[in-house]
Amino acid sequence: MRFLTRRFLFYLVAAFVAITLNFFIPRLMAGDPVQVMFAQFQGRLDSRAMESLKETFGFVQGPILEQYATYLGNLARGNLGLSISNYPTPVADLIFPSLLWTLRLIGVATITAFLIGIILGIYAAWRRGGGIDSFLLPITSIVGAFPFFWTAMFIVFIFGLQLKWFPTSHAWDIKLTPNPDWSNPEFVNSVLRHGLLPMLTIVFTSLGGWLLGMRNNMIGVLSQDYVTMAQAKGLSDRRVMFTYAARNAILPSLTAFSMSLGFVVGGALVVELVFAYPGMGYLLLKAVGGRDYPLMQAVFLLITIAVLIANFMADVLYVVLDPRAR
Amino acid sequence: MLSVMPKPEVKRAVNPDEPLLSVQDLEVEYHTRRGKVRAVDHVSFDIYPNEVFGLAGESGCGKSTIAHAVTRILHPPAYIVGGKIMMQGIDILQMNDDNLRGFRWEHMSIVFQSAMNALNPVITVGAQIMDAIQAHTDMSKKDARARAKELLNTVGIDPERVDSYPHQLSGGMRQRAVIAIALALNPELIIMDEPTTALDVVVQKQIMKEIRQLKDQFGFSILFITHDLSLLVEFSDRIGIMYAGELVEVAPSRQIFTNPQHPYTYKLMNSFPTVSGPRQKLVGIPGSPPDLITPPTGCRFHPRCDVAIAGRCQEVMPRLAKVGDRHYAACHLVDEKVIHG
Repeated sequence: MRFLTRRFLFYLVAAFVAITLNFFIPRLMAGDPVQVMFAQFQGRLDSRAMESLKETFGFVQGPILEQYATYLGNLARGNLGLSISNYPTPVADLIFPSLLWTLRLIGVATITAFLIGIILGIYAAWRRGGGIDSFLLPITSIVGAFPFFWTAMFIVFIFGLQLKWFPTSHAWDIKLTPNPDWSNPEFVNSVLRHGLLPMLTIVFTSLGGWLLGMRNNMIGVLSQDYVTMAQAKGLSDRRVMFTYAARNAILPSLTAFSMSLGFVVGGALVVELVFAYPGMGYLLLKAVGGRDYPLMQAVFLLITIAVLIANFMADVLYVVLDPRAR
Repeated sequence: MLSVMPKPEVKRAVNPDEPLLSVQDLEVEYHTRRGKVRAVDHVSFDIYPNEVFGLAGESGCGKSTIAHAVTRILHPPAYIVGGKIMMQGIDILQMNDDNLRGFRWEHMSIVFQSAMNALNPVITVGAQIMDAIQAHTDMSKKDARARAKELLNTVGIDPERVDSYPHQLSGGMRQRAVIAIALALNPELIIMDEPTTALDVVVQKQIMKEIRQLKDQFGFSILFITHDLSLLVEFSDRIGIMYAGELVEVAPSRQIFTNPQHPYTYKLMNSFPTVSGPRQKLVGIPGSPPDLITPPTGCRFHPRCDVAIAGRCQEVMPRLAKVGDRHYAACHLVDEKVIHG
């Protein structure tokens, strides 16, 4: 418990530092970024947008600490400012739907890839030199080494364009309903069908990493005396494999998994581009293209905080699985 | 409370003159890149009920390999290529996986050298005793837990430590916990592969004393492996001395100590000090153990032996021969004595 409290305080401090940097970095830029933007938009920004921008960056009147306080206050109320490219939509309203799409697609794909990779890794090490170890492991490693966009387009080409099994873009069929309607089973079905190809792309490309990592950890753990002793005790293979070997071998993979979970919030840019999926990566790209600074900043802040939360969750999981960390 | 011992004297009602374990012509090879290494070469010995049989020798002489072969936990690149390991009339090497799983721990358990590595760090000590019990009996979880506590008590650990994790125990307690696991199913034979090497001498003495008491209480036999000769002589009933994968001398421990017949045993006994005996100069054994990929011809010890018989020891491999009551040695000099003496 003391360990978790310490970690929690650490992440709290880290989050505060991130929020503070988010305030100060725009102020380190030469000149007033709001003025720069105003010039770029050649008068298309009205005075309300100007005020909003200034407030977002804390460029309000008064001493810097006062500005900082205003910024923190806005943040606390969830006020991330107004988007420039989609003026005058509040940034929060843009981010929220994208965040949900990303969490559903990339989140589910990341967890699926992890679980499958870990289980295959356990069996690959257990039957060293067997089918999984000699065939599946090299294949998934090679697929993982392909450029991501290449794999994505390959999958689109085969399953979308040639076989026409699944739709190749968007999160749902726009002809069905212009806005998401989760009470409509047809809509849900459409979402599932649209999500399958991008999900497969992510699972295929990231599976190999988990498999290889888990397999190698397992090989190391399998040579430990406690695994040998478990076998000498006449325990079932299942118990030796999972409670004695895998339980210890999974610990290093958990750290990597938590990191990747944190980055889920950032979206998978390439996949979202290839499949025109309305996730966070896509949103961020649009923000960059439209020089939408409030949007970009909000996305970055969100990613930072998500990574911190994911790390904390990993710490909790670690404490649950490894008594030495308690 | 101690009456819960599930298997009373039934298993122990074996003939004390019949060997409990009989290792016959055991051969183990390590398949390495440089070639096959014969780590154990035609080794035969018996262990009798309630006996402590010690195996000693330099590092790499094959003593641990024997321990692992007897429990069938050798992993590639080590392979058993010949011989029999008979336990109460059944050849362990012929058992299939299911028979072996049932046989293990029920009849033979093993205590590893380092208790830290022998205990699974992520589950409790109690769980590691209970899973052994539950794998072999249909005892309920509650009863298995009670039995785990009782076992911890038997080896001198507070039964409340049943829910402790290995890292929460001291080195000595961890080794005791490993011994408690080994006792869980009251086996006839416990293999102890350097059980106290990782501990300091005080704890080591205590634990060895306790092991002896447990042995007398439960009546199991021990195959005791160590490179600590003074401990071995003190603790074992009979001792086998190994050199380069071969058993060169087998005798009651007093005999090994006072009347060694093989030149290697003789030199080994002079290479460690006695606390109580007269002051004497310690003598090492010059040279080092041979490379087992290309072992010396004839007697493997002849390059380091200063009493080797020219022309004979280089060429003819000596076999274990009886030299006295329960005393065997593999040396041409012994033959000479037998022939000429």
